[in-house]
Amino acid sequence: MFDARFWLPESINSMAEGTDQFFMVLIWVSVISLLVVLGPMIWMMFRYRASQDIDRSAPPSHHLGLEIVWTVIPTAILIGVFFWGATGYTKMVVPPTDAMEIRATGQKWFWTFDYPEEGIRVRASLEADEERVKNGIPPGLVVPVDTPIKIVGSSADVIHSFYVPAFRVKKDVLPNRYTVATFQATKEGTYDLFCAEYCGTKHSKMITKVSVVSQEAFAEFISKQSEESDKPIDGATVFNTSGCAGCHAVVASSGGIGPTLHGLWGKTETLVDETTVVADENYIRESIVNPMEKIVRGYSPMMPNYSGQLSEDELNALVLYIRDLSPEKEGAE
Amino acid sequence: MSDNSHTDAHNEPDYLRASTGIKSWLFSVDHKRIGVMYLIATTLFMMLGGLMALGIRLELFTASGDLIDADTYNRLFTLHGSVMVFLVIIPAAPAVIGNFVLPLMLGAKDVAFPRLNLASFHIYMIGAIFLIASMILGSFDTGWTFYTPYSSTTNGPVAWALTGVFILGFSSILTGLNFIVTIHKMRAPGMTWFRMPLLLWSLYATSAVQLLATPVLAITVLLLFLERLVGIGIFDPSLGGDPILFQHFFWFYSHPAVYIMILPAFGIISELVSVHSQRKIFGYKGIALSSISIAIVGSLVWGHHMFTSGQSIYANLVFSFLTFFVAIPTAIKVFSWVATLYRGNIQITPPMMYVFTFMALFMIGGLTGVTLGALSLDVHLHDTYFVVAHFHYVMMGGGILAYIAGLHHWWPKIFGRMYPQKLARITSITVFLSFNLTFFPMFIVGSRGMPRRYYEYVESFTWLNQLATVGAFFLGTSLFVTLGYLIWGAIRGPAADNNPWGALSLEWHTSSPPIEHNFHGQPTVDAGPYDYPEESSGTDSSSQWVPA
Repeated sequence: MFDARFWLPESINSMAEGTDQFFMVLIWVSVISLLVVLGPMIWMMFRYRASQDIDRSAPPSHHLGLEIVWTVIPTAILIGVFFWGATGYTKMVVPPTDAMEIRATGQKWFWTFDYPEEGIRVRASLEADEERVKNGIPPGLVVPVDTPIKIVGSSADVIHSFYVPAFRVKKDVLPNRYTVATFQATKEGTYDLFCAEYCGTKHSKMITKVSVVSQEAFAEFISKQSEESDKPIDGATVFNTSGCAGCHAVVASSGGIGPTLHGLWGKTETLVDETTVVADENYIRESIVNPMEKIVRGYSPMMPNYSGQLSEDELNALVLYIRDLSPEKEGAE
Repeated sequence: MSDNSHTDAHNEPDYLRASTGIKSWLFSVDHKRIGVMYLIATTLFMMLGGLMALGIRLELFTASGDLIDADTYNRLFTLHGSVMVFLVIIPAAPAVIGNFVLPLMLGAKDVAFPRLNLASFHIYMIGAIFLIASMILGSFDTGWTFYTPYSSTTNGPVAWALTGVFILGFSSILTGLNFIVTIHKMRAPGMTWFRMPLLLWSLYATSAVQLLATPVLAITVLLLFLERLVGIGIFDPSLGGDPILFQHFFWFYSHPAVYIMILPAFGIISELVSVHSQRKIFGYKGIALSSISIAIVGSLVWGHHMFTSGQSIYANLVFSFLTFFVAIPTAIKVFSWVATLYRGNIQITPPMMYVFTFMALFMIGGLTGVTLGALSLDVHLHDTYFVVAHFHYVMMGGGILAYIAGLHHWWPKIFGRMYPQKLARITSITVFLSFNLTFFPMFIVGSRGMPRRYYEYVESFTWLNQLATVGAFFLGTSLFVTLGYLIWGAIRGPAADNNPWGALSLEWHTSSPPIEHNFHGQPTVDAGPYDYPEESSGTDSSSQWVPA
């Protein structure tokens, strides 16, 4: 009961380091608080029960000093708990800049993981995992050990949630929006990946694994998967066939009907109403499906609405393609 | 002194016998009869919700889905949640105990708007019919939280359920309004704000939350209703809506709703701990004002349900910070209750047994709430059984058991008869033990990673789930026995004294059951509700009542 393993599965995410100790400290704080209240309560229940002949004179109806003490002490403890939780949280949710990126798409009732750098795609569900294990391929989401990973998640239908208990990581994935989760696994093995947001009939069957493998095994996995026909859609193709290229330049240039996309990623854009926005996944996606929402200063609101015109897959590919037009990104490769 | 108020009461029939026939009940504007009708309705719905809970636990006895299919399971937990929240816990304490006791405690003949009070009950029944109709029409499977876009796309009679929730909200709003006006305008002469029994302070805070937060729920379900029926895009991203907006709207009501459920419970405990230890409540003002601050701060913390939803990190930090501030007034109350026992003359009565039960269970619920409020831990624990255990400890261990404590306390007043006390004391212990057997394993299975709303689960979670299932059946049996002896007590039990617990507040200084207009003449007040005389002073038990 007072051992962390009784409450929690083994933790293998270096970014969540310390949360288990924090949890156990709170268990202890809870037990002590319980004793501080229930102990005197039970003691008085016996001592002052009606049948006892005991001094009951002058019971206090209030006591300012005592009341201040029992307000100030809990307040101090609670503020401490807040700061401990908040600092741990910010460490857990901000991905390092050099993290390896994986796209996760939740859908009733399986996951699709795209590895944009490696150009591979895997589907993960109970059935698909069984098949892969049979063929000697690690199941589920496959990640290399000791490598920071950034999961950019979205959903193709309703809300799902990416939950890996062993990582202490949980993040909802939403339709038409990107959310980010991050972790760095410290130990090879296979761990449960649950859907934690209710999504219908097979919610409890939307279970897969995270396979944490050595760098060599990961390279082998990548090369094996590269032979598969199932690949992420090519963003450049979507860009050229959907009419984007007609207005948006993809190389460093000025002018053009729409803003140049070269170097857009991470840039702060000033809009017609003088507000600014940082170009990230969600901004780029919004500018495709709802272009009238945020018009860049100096341009006219004339782009057609692509909502419903592109599939979820095509949209994701397009966002990735535009992201990779950024020079820093090219430099890094 | 306490007895001259009803010397001539013997000639006048009590409210139960004042008139007869089914119509005299269904269209009664007497707050006591309306309270009893709510009592019957919420009890029936609680049995319904409880049976569904047993169905859920039975399915979860094994890891694989074998008893019912997944869709049936999803409908069961949806209905269990909806019925328990909207039809039982929200109305139970204010509408049953509040309705019956509030005017009596104030020394009033009725609530300020008796007809509106009856209308609240009728509206409640109509809302309940819609919710139950959705069950007969094949039932909905959205979870009681109706998260979009699942709820805007799934099949099933979601619109019926939404209509039911919409209607039920009005019942809640009107009851809140009625109580606020009654407390402001109908206090007996001499009943100053700080002479009011603490139950009234907590009902006042509850009513304010009902009045201010419930309209947001009504707006939310109306918008969702329009989205489903007409296809207006508000929450569904495929129509251009925002699903996170729905969560904000929903929890803007549903978090304060937790305080609608728990504040009356706090009020009941404050009454009982003082009366059954025959001792002035410790820190009256602290308790009274903490109810108000819980109502205010509790309205600013809804975002803590959304730490993993994709809400901004900064919003998470703010909501986490504010969440901890709800714990402070709550802690003040708990400490004051314990301090009230000091130098008391503690009667180990059934209501007092439930007070002790409440203290232990509610503390566990509250302390695990602190764990959940800590951001780094909530990421792991959110949407797992840890949360399920937490809110059952708070809402059932806190809300429902305090309500049951209150029923045991006011039962002799409501029906003029007493239930078997020894059996009641024994049952309170079995309720306590079986409650923990049911819900404590859920903390462990949750922190080990079992998500909620799972029809099947991985094998390693089996033994903890089996403990919970066994506990649930013991708990169900205990509560069934409780219901049995309470009904027996109401019909066949020995006649109760007007004031069996030796309480001072006004409701105990009229006959049991009270006459239709509560009091002969207008009571006047010149003392607090808990001014128990000291044993050594040799005076007889006093009351708030000043004889004319």
